[in-house]
Amino acid sequence: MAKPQSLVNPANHESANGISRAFSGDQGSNETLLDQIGRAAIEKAFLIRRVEQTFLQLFSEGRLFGTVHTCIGQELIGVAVAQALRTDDWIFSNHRCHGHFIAKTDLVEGLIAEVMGKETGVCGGWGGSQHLCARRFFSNGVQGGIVPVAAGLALAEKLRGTENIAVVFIGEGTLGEGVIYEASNVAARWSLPLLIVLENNHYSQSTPQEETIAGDIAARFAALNIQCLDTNGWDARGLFQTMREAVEYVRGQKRPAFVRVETYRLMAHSKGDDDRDPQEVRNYWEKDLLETFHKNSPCPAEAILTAVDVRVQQAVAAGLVSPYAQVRPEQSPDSCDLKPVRWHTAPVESKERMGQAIGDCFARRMEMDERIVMLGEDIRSPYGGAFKATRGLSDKFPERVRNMPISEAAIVGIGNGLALNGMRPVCEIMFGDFLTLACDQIINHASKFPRMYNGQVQVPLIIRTPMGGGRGYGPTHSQSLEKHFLGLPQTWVLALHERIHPATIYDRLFDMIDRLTLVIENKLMYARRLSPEVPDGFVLEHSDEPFPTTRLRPGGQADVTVVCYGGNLPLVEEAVLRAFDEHEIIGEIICPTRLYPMNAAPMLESVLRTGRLVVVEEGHGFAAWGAELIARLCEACPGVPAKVVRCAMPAHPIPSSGPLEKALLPNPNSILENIRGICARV
Amino acid sequence: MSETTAIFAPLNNVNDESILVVEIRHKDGDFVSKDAVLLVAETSKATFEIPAPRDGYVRYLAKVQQDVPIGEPLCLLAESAEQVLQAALPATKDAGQAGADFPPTAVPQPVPARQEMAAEATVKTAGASAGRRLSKRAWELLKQHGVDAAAIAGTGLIRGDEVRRRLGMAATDQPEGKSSTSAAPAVDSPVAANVVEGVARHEQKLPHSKRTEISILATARTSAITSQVSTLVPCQRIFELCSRETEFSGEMSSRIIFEISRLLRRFPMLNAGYRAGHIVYYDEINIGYAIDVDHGLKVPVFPHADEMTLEKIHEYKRDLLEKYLRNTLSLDHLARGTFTMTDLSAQDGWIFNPIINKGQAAILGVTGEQQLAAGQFAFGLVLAFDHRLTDGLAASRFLAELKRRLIAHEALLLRRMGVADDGTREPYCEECLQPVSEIKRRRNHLFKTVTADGRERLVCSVCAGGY
Ligand SMILES: Cc1ncc(C[n+]2csc(CCOP(=O)(O)OP(=O)(O)O)c2C)c(N)n1
Repeated sequence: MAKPQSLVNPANHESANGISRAFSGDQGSNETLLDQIGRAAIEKAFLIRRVEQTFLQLFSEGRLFGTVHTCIGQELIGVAVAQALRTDDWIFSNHRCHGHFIAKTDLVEGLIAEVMGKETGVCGGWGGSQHLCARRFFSNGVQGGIVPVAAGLALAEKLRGTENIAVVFIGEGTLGEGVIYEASNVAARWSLPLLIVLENNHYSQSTPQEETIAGDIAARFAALNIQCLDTNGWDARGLFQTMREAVEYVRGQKRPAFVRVETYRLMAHSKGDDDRDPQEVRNYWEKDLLETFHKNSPCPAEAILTAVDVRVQQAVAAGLVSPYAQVRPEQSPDSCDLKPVRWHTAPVESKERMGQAIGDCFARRMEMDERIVMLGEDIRSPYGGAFKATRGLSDKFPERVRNMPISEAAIVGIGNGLALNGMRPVCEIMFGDFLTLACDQIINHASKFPRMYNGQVQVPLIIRTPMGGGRGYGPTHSQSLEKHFLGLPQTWVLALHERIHPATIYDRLFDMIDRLTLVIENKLMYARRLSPEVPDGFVLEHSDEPFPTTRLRPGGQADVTVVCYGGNLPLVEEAVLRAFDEHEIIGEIICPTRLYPMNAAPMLESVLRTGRLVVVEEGHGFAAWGAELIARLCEACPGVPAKVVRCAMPAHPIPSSGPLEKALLPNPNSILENIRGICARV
Repeated sequence: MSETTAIFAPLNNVNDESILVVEIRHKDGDFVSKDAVLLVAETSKATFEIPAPRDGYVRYLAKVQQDVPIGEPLCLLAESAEQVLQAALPATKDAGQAGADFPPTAVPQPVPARQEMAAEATVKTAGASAGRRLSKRAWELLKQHGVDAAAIAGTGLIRGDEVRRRLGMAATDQPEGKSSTSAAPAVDSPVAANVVEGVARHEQKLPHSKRTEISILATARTSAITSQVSTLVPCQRIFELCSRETEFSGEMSSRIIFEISRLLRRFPMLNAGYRAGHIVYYDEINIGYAIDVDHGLKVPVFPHADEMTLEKIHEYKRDLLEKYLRNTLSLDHLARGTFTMTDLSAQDGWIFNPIINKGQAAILGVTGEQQLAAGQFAFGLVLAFDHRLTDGLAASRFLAELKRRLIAHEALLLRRMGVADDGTREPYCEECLQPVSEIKRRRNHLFKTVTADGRERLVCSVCAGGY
């Protein structure tokens, strides 16, 4: 493999924890900064500095709300990277992102208005300082999680065969986030065009690097066989040259690279929180290249600054008079409303096995849509996923069905990036229990992007995962954790059950997906056949919702409404049949597919007739879906239902022992007891 | 084929318990051939035609505009006109169950499109519903009496009780589900009627869809299904300004009553009552005005407010207030309101929840003025309404229109008080709020004073204490 000449060989990279040789960087001291990097770059750097100084000024005057993290002292890094990039390349940045943003997009006016919370901001005031989006630039304020997202952006470019690359900026404090290594590992293994730029300013908020970082920084990436480069912010020529080489390498070799830039932040972490030794800070002010340039070449510097100041002041003036952001009608929140539904008799479905039916649907859709990419652990042939839903898919679509390491955060994070970059990723989490490892990606990234970037992006990302017990897998492989993921803005949560063909749900989903969608499949369901016989005396109906609700309507006046979802449907059916056979209690079953946003109308309509409601769910009942349903019904019609009972897993972990598990999870007996109980109560 | 055939109200939409006959195509005794349309009916979803299942002479058992419960007979067909006219009335199709036509006659429904299912993308009811189910008790009874299950007609779920009934025995079994007093609320009982008596009115049946909505939303507890919308009206403390000047006192409230009464002509559903699936439009606009100034809450009424001039309203209001304070309001003053306004503009209330008065569709609440930002004030309008009679869209249109008009009224008042269009105000006394032009007119003076903490303050000679 041809390496660019000046690349540091990862193998003999010197230890770089302390302030290394880079800090002596005054090479080319005879040249002026103008000679080294040109006027345009200097203008950009001054522009960034002035914008941020203005922010601090506005804060001190009480005219800004929120916070900012300035990159004063680090401006040239963003400029150097942006100069090396093409328009179609991507940048994902972190909390300290203004410099990167201006360098890539030049949208000074939009940035200032955004930080002011104005409608004319680049994200309409929703994002603010740390959450910017424009012209293939993103930033997010959660440390670390952006790295797999950037890897996903890069993967999409690779799959499309373009020459575009993705760059992600991190600080050295963020090296403590494990997800960086998950993502870097995958980027290296899959040869993704991803450039990781580490701005090492030696402090993480207040903590000096020496207190928290062990070993060699670059060696972490070198160990993953990622090309490592080293440069610093006091050698402008070297900095710009290194960035050009790194970008060329990533683009040309289609391999990830890592650049460590030694630098120093001249101002506080955010607004006024600075505990560093003032003398140390003063020393770095003296070394600062922009300061030095101003001192040594006052003439061009003043000319540049004058022009920059005019622009910044105009932008501030424009920002001050523009209106504050307001919620616009099209930004309506997810509505959990009462939308009356129409019912139709359910069609006869095939009798395939559920797992097979899911896989067949994916095969058909992947054939139709090249944007679909499957990521997951052990999903390729011959294994085909722990529950075999993807069996055989990788034989047909080897590029698009990818085995992931055990890295749930990276699976979902890369899925996020793919979705942001126009793909239709489907992530399989082997057991729903492990969704917890991807929480940050789900809550702070995927569900946030659409609105915090003011509708500029969609995240059509499907996460599928099996939940539920009944197999004796014990406390960490049997849970139903969906309640923790309900109610996230801009998401859907669906639960499959065997009375609706999974293709009905997945086809609809692929047709209309515009947001993160969590699909709960049930472990026991995969092996079962679809469409069990409809019991005599009942009519099976589906609603006309996009993701239909199923109703098992009894032929007779129902005494009680029993609501459940997903894997509990067969248990509830058994209990309801027994309630009639043995106790002459007539139950009507309502089983929605879409858990969030919730449409409680089908349940309300039924409960208005019966006055009694049993809600069955497999997860822990406290603050769960059933509780929300009951709250909704009470809000809509106080006093309806008159009687309510919840049947859920008590607050224990799920035991491994078969009999113990059976005793604790909702089962036909316990459901029947609840039905009888509520019907007996006066 | 000498028998009489009965045609029953079919279940076309499982949400419906009845269908509405909208058109009858023939006269009693007419001959109709097979497949000819007998009548047109309406469900909450759609209208549909009911064709003759055979040739024959027809006799209708339902009238146009009649709601016929599912399973009740609609008409008869027989071999001859005499036969049909003399035929005995048939029973309900399945006397056993309320949702009698079971399984439902399937109307073709859109099925989720799915390429791979295209071949079988039609509704097959057989897969979705099947026959009937007898409880254990029902089986035991049949066995006990040596009756074959086939002798029991009907589909759906059949309890022991039902078997006893069909075997001609008294129903003694109490199924568990029926043991308690039914918990389901009576959704649309006459109790839920909500009409003002003694007011000229006319009545019209609500559309089927609205009645379905009612049955979804109705509760046993309240007769109205209350919802509310609100809006903010930016202002320059108009209530405050009005209250400070006797000349303007109460002006703004009178103007609100004036505008409401005009607007209600355009929003008749807000000036209405409800009775058994009907909206009762009041042909008079009588605005109730809630007063509560330490003599208890009273709601005297402005009769035919829409025919009163603004001056008349203003005058009448003063009169009512006086009577209220003297405790001389008669019952007649309080009767026949068709819409209510509750005015908290003098209070500090900001968000409140006005309660709709009996027999009415809506109530307007006016909140106190609040400062939103330096120099920016607003008051709120809250319209609580009975969702059975109208909806949020109409209610917000009503509010939007009212707001537009009130802003115009305020501008007018402000001009009269010396506040300019652009919000700037000529110098005024910060104590009594009189503009300098007015102060001058009365030959008084406006002084610039300095307060103890060094702030400048404009005060007129009157307020400054007879300077
Ligand atoms: C996951 C996460 N944890 C903590 C924070 C709070 N936080 C914001 S910036 C920061 C320090 C980051 O240090 P570093 O990565 O070195 O970047 P620098 O601020 O030095 O540019 C911290 C702890 C965060 N934003 N996200």
